[in-house]
Amino acid sequence: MRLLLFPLSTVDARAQKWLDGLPASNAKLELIVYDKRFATNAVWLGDPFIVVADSDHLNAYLTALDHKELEILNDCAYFWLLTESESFTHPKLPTDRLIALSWNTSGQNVVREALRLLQSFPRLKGLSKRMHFIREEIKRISSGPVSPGYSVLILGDSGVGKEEVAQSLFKASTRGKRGAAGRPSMYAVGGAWLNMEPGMALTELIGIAPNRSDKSNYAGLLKLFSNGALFIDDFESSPVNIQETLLRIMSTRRGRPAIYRQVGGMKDESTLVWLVFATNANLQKLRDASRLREDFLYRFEDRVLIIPPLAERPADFPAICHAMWRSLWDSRNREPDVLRSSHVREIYGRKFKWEGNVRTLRALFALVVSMRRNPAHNHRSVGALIEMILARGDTYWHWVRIFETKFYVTGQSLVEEIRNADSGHRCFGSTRSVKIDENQLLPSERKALEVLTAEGWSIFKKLLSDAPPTKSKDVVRVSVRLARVIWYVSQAETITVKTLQDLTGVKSDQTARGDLAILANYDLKDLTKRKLRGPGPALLFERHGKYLFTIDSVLVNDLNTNSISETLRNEFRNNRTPLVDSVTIETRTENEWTIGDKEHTYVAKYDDFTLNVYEGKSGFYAKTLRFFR
Amino acid sequence: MVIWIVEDEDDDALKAYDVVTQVAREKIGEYPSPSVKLYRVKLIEWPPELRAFDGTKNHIETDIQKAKPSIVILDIFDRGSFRAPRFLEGLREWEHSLAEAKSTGVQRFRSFVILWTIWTNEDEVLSFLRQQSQRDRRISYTQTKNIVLLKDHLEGFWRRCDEEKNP
Repeated sequence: MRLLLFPLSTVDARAQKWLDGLPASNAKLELIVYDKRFATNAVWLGDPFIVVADSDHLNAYLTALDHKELEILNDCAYFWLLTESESFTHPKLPTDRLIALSWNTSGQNVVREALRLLQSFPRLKGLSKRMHFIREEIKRISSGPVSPGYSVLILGDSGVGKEEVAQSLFKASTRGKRGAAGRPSMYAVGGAWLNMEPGMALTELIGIAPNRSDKSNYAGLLKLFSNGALFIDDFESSPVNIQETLLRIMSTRRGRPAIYRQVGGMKDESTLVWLVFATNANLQKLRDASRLREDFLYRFEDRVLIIPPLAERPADFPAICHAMWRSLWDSRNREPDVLRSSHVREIYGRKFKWEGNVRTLRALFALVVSMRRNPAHNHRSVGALIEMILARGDTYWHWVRIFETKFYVTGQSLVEEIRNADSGHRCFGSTRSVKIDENQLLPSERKALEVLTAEGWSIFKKLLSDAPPTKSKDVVRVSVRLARVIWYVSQAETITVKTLQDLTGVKSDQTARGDLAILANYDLKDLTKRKLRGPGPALLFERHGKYLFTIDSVLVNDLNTNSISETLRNEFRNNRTPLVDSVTIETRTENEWTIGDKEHTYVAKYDDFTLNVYEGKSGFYAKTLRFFR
Repeated sequence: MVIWIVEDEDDDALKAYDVVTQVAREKIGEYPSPSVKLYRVKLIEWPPELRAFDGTKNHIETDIQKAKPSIVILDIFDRGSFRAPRFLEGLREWEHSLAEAKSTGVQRFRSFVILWTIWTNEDEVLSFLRQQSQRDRRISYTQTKNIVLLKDHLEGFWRRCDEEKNP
């Protein structure tokens, strides 16, 4: 068990004495001391931690934390502040548990007990208050002489860790303890698996009595795991007759052996099996649809464990990230790259819905680890790979499509691919006329023709006719530059001035911005053949309306004065698209504001990204674009 | 950040120098900077003769340990001879010996190496490039002496260095 220490100043002798007394009764505790400059990273490291400082330093520390860090801190059940007085408080600190500990009093047991609980459940990784509560509930439910006699229900969305909770429950019980007689174990079975031919499913459960003629018999799961447990996941998928059989077992169990008869059996059989059920279904709906017997639910009484979605457990996020990352590397038997706090912060900051919960997170890391193992990506940092995958969209379905790209296989980035496509062709030079000869297209121009609709291609050619001709012999001509941009945007989510410069070799910031402006000032509706895929690639061209401007400078949002609104209004004004009076801009949080009128409201978030604002047919909308610099 | 440019050709060394200074400016906002030291190695042989490559003429670093590299840009041919394997071997052995000498158990640091090379179809070279990058995840190679590729690899390794320094 690791416990991180962050001394913000020279550690007081009394504090040192307090800390020395901490591991006395917990030999497995590994204290890791970090330099104070890493203290703001503490929440992202996924381990329990203590910040050691006097009240002045603590005040400064807590004040400096941003809203993401505070979100995690407020949800974390495994951090403490060691200071001169237990009465230390701060407006940003939660008051629902003892956080401030005094080095003048021996309160080490507070930390020890929490860590002991954490250590008792190695399969449960989170540090959130909710996970802390679940650990305590598991302890309550699993303890006592008759506990395995009572069925338990675990509720939670897909991927929240129901099986981990079930396994932890079993391990914590008298049956799961090491050395338990008969080496009992927990057998997991899916409700859908039991949804076979009804007779067969029942046979699986209760078994077949020995047949007089051929001696064939099958003990059945109830008998096989009589001194263990059956974990029935998605139990609502099992047939109703199976539910009724299980209900019968639950009714008679209650601490005593349940009696039943095997198929073809002449005598009663008994089982002590512990039934643990789990589902992600809406029980109310199932009951209303008569797919679940109401009395089935009553049997669980107070033995129901509810696991909220990952997005509702902020403090679990870093711990689960690190655990996932380590497990992925462990299974590959290679020297692991380290997942940095900045990476966790980056992923957390995206505020995804994490619809598959922990499984989605694992899938994301599996993609990153897979790419890190490919020598073609040796020069890419973990952070860069995470950014590249996340830039593809908000869900796993967007991320996994990186498999399709040449970049995944060869490590060649899209920019490199586009640049290299034209190599060997004459794409430099002055152009007085930028009319395109469709019989002599360069590879990048041909690609633009491929991705654009016929209307889009004609608009593109019109854009070129209005574009200023390239005068310098050292600059890639404008038709090629814009074709490369179109190719790029058709595959990537967005483009920035810097990327455009890398694509075209244009050094002048002004020329690069001019190129974007040429594309931006036209109606780009339906310019490409690609279908709208949600917040994914090619969105820039597929949105209705005009691309008004790009802000690629950092806007500081002063919530007290609402000053961002004026800055944003000025941006519109400077782009010759002043907002009408009916359109309001309001700040929401430090990095988020709304733009809209009475009928339409658009939320814009800003977090080290470029912000683009569009004028739609019926209002304004804004889209954050990642700034790759 | 200590960067070695191991390159026999002066023109190519200057190209690499431009890329390094450009990346340094983008990463830390300025160049020259006390936090970035650049050395040129003209002869691709081990032990190397390190020359400061920041405008200071004729300054030879005699104590190689003072110039332990974070990133090495390594040309693989020296006047037509395939010298990179011996150089890389020497570099890794030296780095290993430094780590062993420390009794504190400090994590061994190996430099990041960019094999900056012109594309060649010789089997020996090809297998060297592929094997090295497969064996050692701190080594990458470019397929041409394109400066965009060099910049991409340098930026990547620079960021990996930064990430390794911070928890």
